[in-house]
Amino acid sequence: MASSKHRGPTMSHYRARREFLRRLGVSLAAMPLIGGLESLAGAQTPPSASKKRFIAMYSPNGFVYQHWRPTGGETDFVLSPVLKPLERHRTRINILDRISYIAARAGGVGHQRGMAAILTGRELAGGNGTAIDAGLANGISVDQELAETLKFGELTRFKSLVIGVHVDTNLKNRYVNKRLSYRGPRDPLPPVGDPYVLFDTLFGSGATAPSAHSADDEKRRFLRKSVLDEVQSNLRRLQPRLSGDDRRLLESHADSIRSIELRLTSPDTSSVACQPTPFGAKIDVGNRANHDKVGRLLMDLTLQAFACDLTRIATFQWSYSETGITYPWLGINEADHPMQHLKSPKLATVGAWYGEQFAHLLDGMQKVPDGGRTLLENSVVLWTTCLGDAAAHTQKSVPMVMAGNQGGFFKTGKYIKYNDRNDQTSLLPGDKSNSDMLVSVLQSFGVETNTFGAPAACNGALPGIN
Amino acid sequence: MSPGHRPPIDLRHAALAARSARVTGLVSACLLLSACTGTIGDTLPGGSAAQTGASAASGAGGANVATGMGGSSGSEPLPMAPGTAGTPGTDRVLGPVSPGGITIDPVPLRRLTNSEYDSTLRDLFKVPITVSAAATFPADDGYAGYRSGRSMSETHAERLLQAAETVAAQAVADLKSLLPCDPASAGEAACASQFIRSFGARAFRRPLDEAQGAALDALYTTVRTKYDFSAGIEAVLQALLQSPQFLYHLELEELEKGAGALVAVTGHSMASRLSYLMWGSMPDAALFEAAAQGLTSPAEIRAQAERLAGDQRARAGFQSFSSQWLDTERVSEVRKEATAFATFDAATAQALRESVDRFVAEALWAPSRGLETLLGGDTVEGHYAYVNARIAPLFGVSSSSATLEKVPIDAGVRRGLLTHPALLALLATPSFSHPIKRGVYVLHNLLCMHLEEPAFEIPAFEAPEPGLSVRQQFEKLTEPAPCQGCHTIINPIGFALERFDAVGAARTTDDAKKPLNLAGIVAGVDDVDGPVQGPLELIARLAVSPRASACLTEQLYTYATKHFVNATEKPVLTQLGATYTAANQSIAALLVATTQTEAFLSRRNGI
Repeated sequence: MASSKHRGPTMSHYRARREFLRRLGVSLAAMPLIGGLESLAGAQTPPSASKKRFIAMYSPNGFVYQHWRPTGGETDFVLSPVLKPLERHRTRINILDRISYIAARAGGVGHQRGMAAILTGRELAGGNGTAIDAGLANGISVDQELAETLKFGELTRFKSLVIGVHVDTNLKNRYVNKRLSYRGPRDPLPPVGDPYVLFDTLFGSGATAPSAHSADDEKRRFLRKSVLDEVQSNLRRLQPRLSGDDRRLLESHADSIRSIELRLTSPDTSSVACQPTPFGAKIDVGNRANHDKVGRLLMDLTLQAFACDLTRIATFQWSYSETGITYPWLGINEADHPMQHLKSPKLATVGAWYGEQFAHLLDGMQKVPDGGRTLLENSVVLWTTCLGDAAAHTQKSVPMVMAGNQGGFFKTGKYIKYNDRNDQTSLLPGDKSNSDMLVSVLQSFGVETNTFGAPAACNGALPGIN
Repeated sequence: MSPGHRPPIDLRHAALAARSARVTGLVSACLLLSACTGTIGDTLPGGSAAQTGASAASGAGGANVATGMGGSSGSEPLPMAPGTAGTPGTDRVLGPVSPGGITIDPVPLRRLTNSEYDSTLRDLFKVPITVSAAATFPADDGYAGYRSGRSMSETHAERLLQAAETVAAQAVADLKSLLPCDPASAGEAACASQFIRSFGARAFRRPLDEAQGAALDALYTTVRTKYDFSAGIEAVLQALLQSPQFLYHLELEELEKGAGALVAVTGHSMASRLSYLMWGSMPDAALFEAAAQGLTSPAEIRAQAERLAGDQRARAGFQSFSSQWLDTERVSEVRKEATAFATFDAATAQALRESVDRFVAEALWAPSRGLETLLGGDTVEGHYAYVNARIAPLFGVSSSSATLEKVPIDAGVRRGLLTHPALLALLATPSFSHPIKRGVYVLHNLLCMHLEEPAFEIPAFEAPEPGLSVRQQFEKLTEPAPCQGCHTIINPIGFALERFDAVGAARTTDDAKKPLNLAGIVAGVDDVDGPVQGPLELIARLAVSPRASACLTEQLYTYATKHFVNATEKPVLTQLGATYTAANQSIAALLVATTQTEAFLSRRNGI
């Protein structure tokens, strides 16, 4: 349970919140959401040393190595154009070079194999390589593994957040390219892509706001609870009549309802000061030309959710593998994927922009005090992608950055080259895979394991980062 | 969500064997730079296909047209079993295979798509409903190439909850029109109970079972004890709209027959199959009535199918299929680089989407020669397009209308779907036209040649040399031998369509400002093969291509039966294709014939 549970919300808190929600949608003065983070975290509960957190940020389609790879040695490295925005965090990151998605080497197509493997360490399952039947990852992703095994659903209001910026294009084709988090084999979690929806979910207007003081609220709450009880029993009555994946679908549904019910009945654990800073003028979320703005709102809301301890696990996906997204706000109107094939020099600018987004995430986490440290120091934050070399579309030497100390578990400030033989097709002693990295993440939470994902692709935790 | 759902092997060994044979033969498939939008890999027609390795795979399939079904039909023994006599509808539980020897695969459970949800709400209530799932719910995922709904998340459940609350509040604002009884005279509890069973049966598309009815009675009582009658009804509505029986396509009566059973689909399940196929929404009163009477024989089912197909609502329902099959639903997302196409904006994309959808619907619903009209553009009214002031210039015509109007176009430049700027703009990058995307679209969407992506790593490319024409640049990029297997097929089609720029306007020079060279030899695509001088010859052959006709048949069948077509179903497709041809390409006839297939008339329960 969140340690702040004893502190019940006040009436004025609710009034302020409802007032705020009433005004939402009305054009308010634009304010960066991140602005209030220090103050709200300052109002938080006494420090608890045991809180640990995980965020994975995904950016699409790999990198041109010359744009990404640092020069120099393990500690005196010189950051590349893509990584340059992380200069201010250089002591808080490890740059992991030459890690391969070994589970992704067989079967299927580069984009799809890579995307499936990132957080699962698994190969593609099902599918025949065509667009409409491309397969899906054959296992649970590390974020959901953590959320499940460590029961984060009981620790925070949200077991995990799965966020994606413009990931829901044409899902009937190459679905696997558009999903990062998995509940289990071939069972991807759909991300939230609308900041207004995410706001609503996190800070609750409608569905699960714990507020209940007026007679109207009281009634609404009573109905909601009674109805969800019935829906839940209905799902339970039906489940035995189904089998296999169909039953699992209804189980997912029941789980989702259960999470909402939990939020409905548990007291509000966020602090009075944990008020979201309002959005500016409403933007057109569907328009991909607003990709940067939509993404920034989603990222700031994610930061708020962490600062308020509404969740401790999140994945954050910038578009998807094979995306044709363009970057008009950078003056780049060419589509990402074809530029990757052509190793366009403009990708240095694009990569640096993703670097800035990651730096912004770290900025936000570094600002929030947390148990005598900062949020970042009590977290592990990944920046991953689906491919190694952009043009070659390989799954070897996939660029990766791992930030945060997870309460001292990780030592940071290094540029680590894991090996120089990247042409082999099988895992050799000494090779490092993303599965190894995922084992390190699990161990940082105290999970006692030496393997994750496909066993053949995993050699145990990554060395050199503890 | 599991699009990769795999049934146990004993139910479909033929299909699995076919699939593995097919994949093996595809290693040389390749596609460069086409945004990995696909590569030819499947059985190509008649061995005329790819000169290179791809043709090795086609050995098994021979002249297979419908390549989505795997290649080796006929080479595997069909899983015939004794005691399978009888027709669907007369025996509730069938044998291991359907009487026709067709392997019926389990079809994964799916929820109402967002558009089905919206339509169903509108048909369910008499009062106008302002909720829109399409606008606020997570996007539909896909299965077998069409929108499905195989995932559920906390966010989604929360959206469903909010929608249910909003709709319930709107509905109880006019209790009188909602209720089948007067609580004052009938008694509140009795009236609530009556409402639960009558309205519930429409929401669930089948009568409530005893447990369900009792549970909702109890919910009503719980709420009524504390609040008023209206609140009790509101709670019941909220529960109905969040129930799996409302949200999912649950064929409950058939599920009762147990895991793995092959069952004739009848009654209420069949009524829903028909209404969602034809109208994209719940059954109407007449269909409910028929369902209650049984709806067991294929003849009864056909009669209902004919009634539904003849209703105006079938047009809207059909658009759900055609906009997915032809990808026109993606047109509204198209945006162009402002420096190159300053006037192309969201409103342009939206107008193009509506323009192309109207053209598609009119062409395909023509009383005869539907597909030929769609592809060739030669309608009884001549060659025309729907334009407004914004998009007219893209067609080379003028209009001052704010709304779409029907105007004649120059048939010497533009004919039919492939020359519609909506598609040409979709099949392009934000700044230049893309012959590979266009070629792949023709092969994949119109000819059902499912392309497989490269099974090897794509070599790195440097930027193409300056000074070459776009065509020369693409020829250079796709020159390596492994690429040629597919690109000899893709490129000539795409190059012919270079007649049009990235927003679909006709032109005389390419994006590198070089003169156009549209001529080529189409090869490897069966009845479309042969030399072309430009797009119109290609289109003329496509319009009368039996392969294109077979492709429409396969797509509609897949959409209607919601599954990956397997090898045993080839004869079904052949027969459907013959029906479509015999009916002079009447889409209504094809829709009705599709409801008479084994896959539509029966289901295999999952294990």
